[in-house]
Amino acid sequence: MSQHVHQSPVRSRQIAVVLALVAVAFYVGTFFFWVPPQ
Amino acid sequence: MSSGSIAAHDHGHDHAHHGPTGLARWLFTTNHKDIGTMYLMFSMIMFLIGGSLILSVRAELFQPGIQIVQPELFNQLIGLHALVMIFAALMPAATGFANWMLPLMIGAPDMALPRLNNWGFWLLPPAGTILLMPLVLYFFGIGTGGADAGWTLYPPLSAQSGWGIDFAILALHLMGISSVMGSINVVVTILNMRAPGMTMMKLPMFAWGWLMTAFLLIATIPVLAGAITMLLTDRHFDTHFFNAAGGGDPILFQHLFWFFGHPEVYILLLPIWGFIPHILETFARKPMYGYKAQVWSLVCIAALSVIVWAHHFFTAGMPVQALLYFMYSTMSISVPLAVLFFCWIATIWRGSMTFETPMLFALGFIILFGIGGLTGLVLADVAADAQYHHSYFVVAHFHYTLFAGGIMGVMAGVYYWLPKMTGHMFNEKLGKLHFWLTVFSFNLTFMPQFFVGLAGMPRRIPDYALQFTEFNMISTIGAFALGLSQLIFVYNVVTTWRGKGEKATDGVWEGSKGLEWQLSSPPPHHSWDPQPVVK
Repeated sequence: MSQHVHQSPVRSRQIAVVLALVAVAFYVGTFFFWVPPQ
Repeated sequence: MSSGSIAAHDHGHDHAHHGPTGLARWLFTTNHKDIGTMYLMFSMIMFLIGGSLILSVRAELFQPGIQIVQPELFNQLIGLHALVMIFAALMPAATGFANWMLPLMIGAPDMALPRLNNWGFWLLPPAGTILLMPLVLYFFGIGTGGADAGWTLYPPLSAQSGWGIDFAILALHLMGISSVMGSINVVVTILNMRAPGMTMMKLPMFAWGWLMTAFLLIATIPVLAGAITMLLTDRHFDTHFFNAAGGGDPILFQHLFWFFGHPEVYILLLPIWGFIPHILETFARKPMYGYKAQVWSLVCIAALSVIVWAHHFFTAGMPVQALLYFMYSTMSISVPLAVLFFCWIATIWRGSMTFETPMLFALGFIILFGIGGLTGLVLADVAADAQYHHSYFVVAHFHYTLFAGGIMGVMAGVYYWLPKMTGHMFNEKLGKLHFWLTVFSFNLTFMPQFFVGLAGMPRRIPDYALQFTEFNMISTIGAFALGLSQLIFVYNVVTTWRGKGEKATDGVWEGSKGLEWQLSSPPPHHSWDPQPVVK
């Protein structure tokens, strides 16, 4: 099937990895909104 | 538009497909249509479960005083109703449509990442089970019951509650991972799998709606996950993120939750705003009005949705400048939303309309969701919100938004695409009966809630003052009628799926436009193979 597909599967994986990293960054970033008690 | 002419397509044949059969077919499938079907079936089952939970609540609220459901169980029922409906019914329904229709509509053979797709779906049944299991065990006298702090899971209540909260936190993490994986797949598919010639401004509106939804999910689900991870560590590992006694801040949870929670409303609605214009143009037999205006409105709404979150807790206390900012930013969403409304109306204006079931649901959606939108403006007003906050007015408002806008929108989509999916027409008379019963009983259920809310009846309370009795009785009768009328929908869908109706043509509807209608009904196993060329 893949020979019919116009676009590159490598590019698909690259976009997916970038988006996954964005999601992880938002997850980790959430914890930095906690302000320790003064 | 995507309905442009197609230079070359050779799709009438289906390639020999030798996959597993029976349970293994569904367990291991990477086919977008199989996975879409599973999402939609899961959504329908959870919709019935979520509805049953709230009918118990409405039965209790038929009269003042405590009759059927004790307060501890009442809290579980309302919280789980919302969690089930939002995370296990509406979100999977939208993902089911995305899986089924996006490849067909953009001329792709399948979703870009099929194995991720399979994984994304199969996280959901365990997550749904984990979410509901504590409630089931509670009926057998085991444990402290399901999540009983509402779907917002606010600490300090959720920090002190029983193990249902832990189960809900685990379930939400799983559902969140599933949603993010599904969203990544949607973005990659739209950006990288479009048919040659289909530029972004030729994308079907449904693809634009889902693209915005996917970006919102990728940005906001991780924030919810972070917040509930902190809640989990507060509960079990002696951290003090939200514990005021230890220097933490419970209001921080509200900020983090609603940074996710408000975009979530648009996550549920943007895919529907995407396909409603397709339904309107089909049954009005006119081209969609204002394609570019609608696209940019969807983009604006998605962008604005992440900067308005604090209007959900005006009464929690914040500086006046913050109140004003969140009020005006919230109200500004009505501008692009009004553009969408006017484009929908202009699409059907002077059209050759016919009123098949999908069109009825689309028109019902516009009117009733309009009420939901306008009452949202009332709540966005800081001065007015001080009275309406945490009242039944809010409950009525978000059900006009999420039932009339969400569930009725989904039903419009199901009726619209069901003949394409199954190859058979549904029972039109039953569809129309379902629509009219739904509209009547929906208004009977939720219109009185505006009145009791304005009169001061608080939400999430199993008992109420005597003067609210009549309206609550009407609401309960409406709710049971609404619940029962959905069984017509289930019967109609199941019988159509089993091939009872007459054979559907490829175009299905007289005025249908777009690539998905050029494939056979049901479409071949590999949807567009080879891909079409859009001019």
